[in-house]
Amino acid sequence: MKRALGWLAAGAIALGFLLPLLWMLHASFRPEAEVFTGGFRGLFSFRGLGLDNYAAAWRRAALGIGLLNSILQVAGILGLGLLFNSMAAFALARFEFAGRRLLFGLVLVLIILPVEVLAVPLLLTVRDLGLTGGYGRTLAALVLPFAVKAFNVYFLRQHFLALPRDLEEAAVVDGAGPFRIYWSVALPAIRPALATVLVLDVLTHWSDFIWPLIVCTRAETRTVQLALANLFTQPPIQWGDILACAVLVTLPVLLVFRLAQRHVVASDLGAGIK
Amino acid sequence: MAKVVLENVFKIYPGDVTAVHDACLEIQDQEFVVLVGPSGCGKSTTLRMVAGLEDISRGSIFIDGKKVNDIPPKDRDIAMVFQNYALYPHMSVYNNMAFGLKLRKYPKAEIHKRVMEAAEILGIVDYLERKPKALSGGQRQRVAVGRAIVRKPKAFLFDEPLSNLDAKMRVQMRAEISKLHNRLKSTMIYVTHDQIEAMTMGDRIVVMKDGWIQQVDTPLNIYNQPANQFVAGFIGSPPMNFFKGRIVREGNAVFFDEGQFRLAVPEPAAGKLAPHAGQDVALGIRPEHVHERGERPEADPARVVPATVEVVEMMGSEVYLYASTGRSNFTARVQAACRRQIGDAVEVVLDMERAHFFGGADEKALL
Repeated sequence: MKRALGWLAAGAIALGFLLPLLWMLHASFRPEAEVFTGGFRGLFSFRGLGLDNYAAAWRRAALGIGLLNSILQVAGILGLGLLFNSMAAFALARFEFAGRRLLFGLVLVLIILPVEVLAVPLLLTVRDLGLTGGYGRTLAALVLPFAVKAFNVYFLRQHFLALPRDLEEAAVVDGAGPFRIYWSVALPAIRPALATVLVLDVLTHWSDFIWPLIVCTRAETRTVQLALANLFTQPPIQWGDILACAVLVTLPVLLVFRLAQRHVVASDLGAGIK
Repeated sequence: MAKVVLENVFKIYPGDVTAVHDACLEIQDQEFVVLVGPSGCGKSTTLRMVAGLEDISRGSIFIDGKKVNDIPPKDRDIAMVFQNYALYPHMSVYNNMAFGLKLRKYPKAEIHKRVMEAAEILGIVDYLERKPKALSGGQRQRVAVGRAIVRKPKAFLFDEPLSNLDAKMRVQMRAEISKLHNRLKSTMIYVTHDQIEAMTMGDRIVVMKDGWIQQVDTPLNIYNQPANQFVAGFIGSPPMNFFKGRIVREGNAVFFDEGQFRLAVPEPAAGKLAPHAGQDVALGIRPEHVHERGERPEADPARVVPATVEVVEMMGSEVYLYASTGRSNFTARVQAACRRQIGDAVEVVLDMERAHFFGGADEKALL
């Protein structure tokens, strides 16, 4: 009985969180005139459902180019980020050098600075580097400022610190140098941490709005969030299109989370070490 | 295969903490040497200096005649087996073993040949595609040994490799490593805190305490002729018994006076102890040299000690009697037929020909 009540309560809470999403999904298939009819009860109406909103949203928001830009942006941040952040983290965790503690202190300070504070200095830097105007330059402006992230450096450093020394020493005796140890031993051993960073970065940068708004000055450089926002300002305001666009923007994130989830949870580190 | 030499080696950590003092050791080619001692005695640090994982503060280490102080571990041509296996968790057993060879750019065929050879020797052919997490503790340790074998190094270093295994597996792996040594005929340096491993595996044993080498000798010599009281107490299970007392000389006779009882010291020990008359010493005697009076009815009364039984441990093949004289506690290893009970008054006979005497500030053997 107690168990059943527990399940019921858990189910109710889960439903509470799911309901807006379900409503968004359902409404995205409804004709524009019926999007808001019936409130949440409208969820049970299946009359006139279709893909018209999706076709219109794709066309009006130029979602194709938006998705491509966002994928390139996030892939760039992830690719460069995983490499640079993990290398910095490994150096801070394992190498002895003058100023290491000071550098790590600066990393911690950077974690607490919000992007809004950094926006203007970043924009000035990006402008001075000439990363404005063209497509490639704008893409670089979207990626480079966020390729190295203080939190990721900190997070990965903690995981490198937790690696048993024996693992690295075994590699040293096997003949591995510092880069080989980082690349072939330490990095694969913290896969769950990398997957966590990957998921967090995808969630963060797929939703980036302020920074793309600042640097994407031309239509063909817009990311998905700008494309979605554009539907709010482009008359006529079609809520069906907006919701369809929102669904399409959400799907890639869900997919990434689904694929990376297994790695976020699992770790086989304990297997090589007693 | 190679000779490994340590010349006046020190390891001094920041803060002037000396972990290893003036270690001098010559390990012959193909020899199996065991470094043994309690935690913190410097045995692992010594091994790690040989491996190159710790810098040498002072002194020199030579491998195969070449000074290796400033040579990185990868160029010392040694292989090491770690206590907690240190297998790469994301690699298969095969790749764990092949990793070192790949880094040294061996041809694929040669790598395959060596891995398969090692896997055959260690009986892990069926597990080559598995990841470490799919192996038992014993299998993982075999892989760790395999990773060392494939390299065919000049010397193998083992850092407490069996400590994480259960008692049965430890005995089995102990025998396997000994067999491996006989088969490979290679120089092996083995660190353990387990004196049974040291006794059963080593050609020679190095006993260490507080960073100092106490004695280097064959297992039997260490057991029968310990250099000092520490070595005597550390090697042997159950450990050697010690009675504190004084050397007393009466005419030509020499006695050990414990206070409650007095034991006659036979020749030739008596002659050697005579100059120490009046000096406080410790008499050491192994449990197998302490007998129940009933086992030695003809024993000289000057070798008999009265005591009270405090604990009786039936081992099946023998019985350990833990007894007390009131001032000293001791253990006797007596025949399985012994049926003594806790609280029984017993008389034990000490086999004084097998007694050891330790004295002086450094508790050195006096005989």
